[in-house]
Amino acid sequence: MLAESSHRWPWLLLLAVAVVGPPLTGEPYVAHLMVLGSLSALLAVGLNVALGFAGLFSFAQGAFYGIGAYVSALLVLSSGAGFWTAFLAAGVAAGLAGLLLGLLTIRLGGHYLAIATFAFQEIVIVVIRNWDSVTKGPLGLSGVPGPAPLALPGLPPLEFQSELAYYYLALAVLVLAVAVSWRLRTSQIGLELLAVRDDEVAARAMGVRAVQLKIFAFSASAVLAGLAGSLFAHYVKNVSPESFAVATSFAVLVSVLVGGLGTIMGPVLGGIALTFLPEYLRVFQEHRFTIYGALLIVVVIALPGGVAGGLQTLARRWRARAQAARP
Amino acid sequence: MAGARPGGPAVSASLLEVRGLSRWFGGLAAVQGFEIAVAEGQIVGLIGPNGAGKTTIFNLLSGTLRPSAGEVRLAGASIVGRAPEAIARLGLARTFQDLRLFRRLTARENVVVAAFCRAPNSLVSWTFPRHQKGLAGFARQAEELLEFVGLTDKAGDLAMYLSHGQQRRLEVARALATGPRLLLLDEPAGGLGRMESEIMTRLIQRIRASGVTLVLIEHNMHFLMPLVDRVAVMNFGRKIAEGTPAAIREDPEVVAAYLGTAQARARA
Ligand SMILES: Nc1ncnc2c1ncn2[C@@H]1O[C@H](COP(=O)(O)OP(=O)(O)OP(=O)(O)O)[C@@H](O)[C@H]1O
Ligand SMILES: [Mg+2]
Repeated sequence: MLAESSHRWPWLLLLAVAVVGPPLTGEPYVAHLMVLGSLSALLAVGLNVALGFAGLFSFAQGAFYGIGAYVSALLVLSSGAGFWTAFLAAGVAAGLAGLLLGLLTIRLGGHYLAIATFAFQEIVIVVIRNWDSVTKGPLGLSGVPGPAPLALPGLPPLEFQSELAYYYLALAVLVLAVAVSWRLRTSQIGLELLAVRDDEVAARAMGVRAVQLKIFAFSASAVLAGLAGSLFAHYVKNVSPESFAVATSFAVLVSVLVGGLGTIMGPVLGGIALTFLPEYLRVFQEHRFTIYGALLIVVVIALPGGVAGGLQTLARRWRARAQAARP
Repeated sequence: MAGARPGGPAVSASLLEVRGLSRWFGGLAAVQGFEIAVAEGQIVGLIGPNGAGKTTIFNLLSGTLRPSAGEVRLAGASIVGRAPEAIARLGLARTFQDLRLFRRLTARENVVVAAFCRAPNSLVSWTFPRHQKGLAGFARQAEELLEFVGLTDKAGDLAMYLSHGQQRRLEVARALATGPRLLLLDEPAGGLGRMESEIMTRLIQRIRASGVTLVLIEHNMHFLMPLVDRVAVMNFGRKIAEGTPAAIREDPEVVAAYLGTAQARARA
């Protein structure tokens, strides 16, 4: 019933590589990068729900990420809450912030929404930098504890001390988020969001509750960013404002666009690729934003569906050719 | 019903009743004091020169634009000021003159999403997945409607890749999918060749036969006149005449205002 191909094998392949790859290399640094890559992917999957499905521009993903990180860290540090409680609270807090921002701004058309989210991004950072008594200002919070071991019945307790163990935690959350976004995309709500993205006036005339749906998509994308923020805080153990600045929002946007806007796999690929490239390409480190800009231009001009969209087109052509070759 | 006069006493048999409908854009009165009553089962034509305010009337009726003043009743209930999605649910559907399909969705998806108009609120059904099973029925209805407009073999194509004529028919199928009692068609034959326009004529006759009431905007008189029971004529935002096709053809004011310009255009 829905347009995107539903082949399983690319997913199984990707998951197999993601599970087996890092331990095979035996390098903690690869696992470390994979944690960061998974978090970028999680942010990208989140933004994709707003931008790719509903067509809502958001420059505030960095801010929602920061809200999640600070809420989670502060809860554990000040009230002694456990990681899992704090993790969920981070999603709720970011989601509520998204809901509020959505309620206030969603009726603004495209460009105005982008500007409003940009302003929100800046305000959140200013608040974090200056609310010394709570956030410790520019210095940030330190000594954020990692998750306590998770006791599952019948298994030895799961520890999250090593990079690799934490990576599997982040991967599990990412897989869940992808499953949720897949389910969203293939359900009634997903089709309605795509209709709103293509033509809101027509969608509303066909009975689609566009405003409610847009606020929902916007808040859902904030929830995912908040969860990523919590995972980040309890991984790096020190949180400070610059991790959540507008540069982060921009990087999330680039990874979604380069990976493939509106596809399910694209944001995952984009988030991971843009984490690894700077590590292995020196030029990338030195000229990060110049390269982001160049990538954006290339994608907009040559590959409007991003990497995933390009792959889908290739697969379609290949299938069409195979069909034509058959007698 | 034929004797219903604008501004007269309420006629309870009317599916659509409009009184004093007006809309200004800045200083421009795009529609002023528009009145009409459409009985269930009728087809009414709405004609007038370019810029006369016809599309604006559809926008006002469907909630896409808010009226500056006036009263609109659908099956007796006032719908002025309601959101377009609520009006669609009350049984008023429309097509768009400038073809506003969901371009990056398939023909089938275009129709399915409109059929969801009659499904429970998706924000609730998404949270409670059991409702999802009920959606198969909407997909089946979409297939039937695609067949009804002759687009079965295009069901899997993106709307943007359909021909102009196919897009016009998809607009109709999509509007029908909402399950309307009243359907507003804005230039359904606009830009169509003779063959395509004949297909559209038959389509409209079948829609009427299925019990849907229609209001039709059209420039092509050869297309419109044989289809409609009554015609309302607009000029400069005002209704200047209303009557049977035969009476309208003879009306001197209409000939001067509308047919005159059409002839002038044809000559140019
Ligand atoms: N959203 C709008 N903002 C400003 N002016 C508008 C708007 N919509 C319509 N108008 C103006 O209102 C007048 C009526 O336009 P409308 O589209 O209703 O005409 P129409 O009778 O449908 O013409 P056509 O036969 O060309 O489709 C025109 O002068 C148009 O420029
Ligand atoms: Mg018009």
